[in-house]
Amino acid sequence: MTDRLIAFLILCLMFSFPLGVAVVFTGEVILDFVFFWPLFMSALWISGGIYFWFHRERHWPWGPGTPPPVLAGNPLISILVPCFNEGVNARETIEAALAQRYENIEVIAINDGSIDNTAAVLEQLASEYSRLRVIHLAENQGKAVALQAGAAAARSDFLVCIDGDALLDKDAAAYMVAPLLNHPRVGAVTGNPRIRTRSTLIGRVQVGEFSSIIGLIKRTQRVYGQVFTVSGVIAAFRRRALAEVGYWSPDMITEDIDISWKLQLRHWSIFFEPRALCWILMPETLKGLWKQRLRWAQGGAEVFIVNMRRLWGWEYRRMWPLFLEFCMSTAWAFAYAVSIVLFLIGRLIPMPDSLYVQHLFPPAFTGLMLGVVCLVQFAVSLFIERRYEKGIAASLFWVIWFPVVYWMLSLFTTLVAFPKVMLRRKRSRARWVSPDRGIGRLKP
Amino acid sequence: MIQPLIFTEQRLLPRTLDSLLTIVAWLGFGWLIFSGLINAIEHDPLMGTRPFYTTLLTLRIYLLVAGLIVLALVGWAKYNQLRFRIERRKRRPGLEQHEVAASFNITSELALMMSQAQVFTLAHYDTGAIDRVWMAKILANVQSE
Repeated sequence: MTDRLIAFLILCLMFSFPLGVAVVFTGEVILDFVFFWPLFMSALWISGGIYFWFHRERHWPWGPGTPPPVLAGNPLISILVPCFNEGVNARETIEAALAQRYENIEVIAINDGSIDNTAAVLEQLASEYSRLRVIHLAENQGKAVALQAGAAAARSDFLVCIDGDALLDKDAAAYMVAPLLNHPRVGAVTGNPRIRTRSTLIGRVQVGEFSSIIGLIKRTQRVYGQVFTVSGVIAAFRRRALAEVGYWSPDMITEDIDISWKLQLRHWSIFFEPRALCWILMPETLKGLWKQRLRWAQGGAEVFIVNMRRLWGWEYRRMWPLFLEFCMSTAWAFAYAVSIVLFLIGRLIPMPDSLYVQHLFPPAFTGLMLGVVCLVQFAVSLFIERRYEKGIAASLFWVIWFPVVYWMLSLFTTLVAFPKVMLRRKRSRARWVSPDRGIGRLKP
Repeated sequence: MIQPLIFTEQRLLPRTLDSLLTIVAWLGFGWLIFSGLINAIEHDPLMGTRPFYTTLLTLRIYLLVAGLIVLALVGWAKYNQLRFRIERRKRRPGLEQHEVAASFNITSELALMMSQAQVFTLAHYDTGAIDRVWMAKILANVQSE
C-alpha cells in the first residue's frame, strides 16, 4: 500500500514539477532542459565510448584470423535458448549455437509450451545433435521461468542465454564466458546484438540506433562501472550469482533489466563484451517497434518502483547515478509533454507571459548543435564498431532519422508506460509478448 | 531452410521511396545548418553585438560543460582502476548439485535427473516453482557410465 501511495505521489510530481518550474521561472526554462538533456547525454556517451575503445577495445585482437579465446581449464558452457512459437527460427538458432568454435558446450532449448511446431522441430534436432538437450514445459510459463528451468538442468555454472530467434557468432559463447572465468566479481556479461532485419526504414534506423546509442551507452556504463541492463537477447551469467539473487523474477515484464539490478545490488559486476556478436531479428513496422519499446519502458518503470525505497542505503551508492539517469530521462519526457501542452494552450487562450512556450523544436542554433552532436555520435560509433561489421558505414545514409525516432519513441513510451506501471495494482506473471520480427516473418 | 544473415528490401519502388524521403530529411538538416550559420554570420554591425560572437560564447559554454562531463567520467574510471587494481575476491566454485537443488527448492534426485536428461518434460506449480519431471531420453554419456 505504501509503495502504491509513493508511486502515485511520484507520478503527480512528474506532471506537476515541470509546470511548477514554468510558473516560478518561465516555460523557456523547461524547454532548455528538454534541449540540453539530450545534448549533454550525447556528450557523455561519446566520451564514454571513446574512452572504452581507447583504454580497452583497441587492444583486443579481432579479425578473420583471430583464434577463439582460450578458456583456462576448458570449462563446459551451457547455452540456454528459451523458445516460444519458434518453429520457423529454431533450427537456424540451434545450429548457430552448436557451431561454436569452442567445443565444450551443451545447448539447452526450452520449449515454453509453444502452440506451433517448435516441439517437433526441437525433437528432430535433438535426434541429430547429441550436444542438444530439450526441455518441454508442460504449460506456457513465460521467459523467466523457462530460463530458470534451463539453469536448473544445466551441467555448467556458466550460462549463455540467447533468444529463440538469435544467431550466435562462432566465438560468441567463449567471449561471453571469458570475463566470468577471469574476474571473480563478474556475475553477468552482456553481448553485442547486431540487427538482421533491414528491409524497411524502421529496421534500418535501428541499425544506427544499436550502434550509436545502445553500443555507446553500454560502453559508457561499463566505464562508469554499473550497467542499466544486460541485453536479454544475448547475456551470460554465473549460476552462483543468479542463485544468490533468486534467479529471474517471473513477474517482471523485462527480466533482463530486473536481473541486472538484482545482481548489481548484490555487488556482482556486469561486463560488456562487444566481440560477442549475436545476430537478431527486430520489428520492422512502427506498430511492432512501439509494442517492443513500450515493453522496455514498462520494464524500466517496474525496476524503478521495485527499487525506489530500498536503494538509499550507502552500500548501494554506486547504483544512484543509474537511478538518477532514469529519473532524469523520465522527467525529460514529462517536461517535453508539459511544454507541448503549454504551447498548445498558449495558441488558444491568453496566459501569463512566463508560461508561453514559443516553439516546440529547438531554435536554430540549439537545433544545429543537437543535429551536429548526433552526427558526431554516429561517426564515433561507426569508427568503433566498423571492425565488427563490414559496410556498416553505408547505414550513415539512414541515420538522419534516428535522433528523431529515438527521442520521440522515448518520449511517448515513457508517457504511456510510467503512469501505467505507477497506477497498477499488482504485477502478474509476465508472459511472452513477441512483436513482429521483420517483414519477412509477418503473417499475411 | 537457409536464411540470409541480413534481410534487405529487394523491390525497387519501396527502396526508391525510402531513399527519396531520406534525401529530403538530409536536405532539411542541411537547411537547418545553413540557416544557423547564416544567422550567426550575416548581421548588420549597427544592430549591436554580432550573433557570431554570442554564438561563439555559447559554443564555448557547451564545450566547457562537455569537458566537465568527460573529466567526471574519466576521473571516476581512473579512480576505480586504482581502487580495484588488486582483486581481493577469489573466484568461488560453481554450484554443487545439492546447491542447485536447494536454490530451486527441489530434491537432489530431481536436480540430478534434470541434469542427466537429454529430452524431458517439466511441470510447474502455479507460482512458477518446479513440480515434477517426465523423462523421455537420457544423455548418451550418462547411459554409457
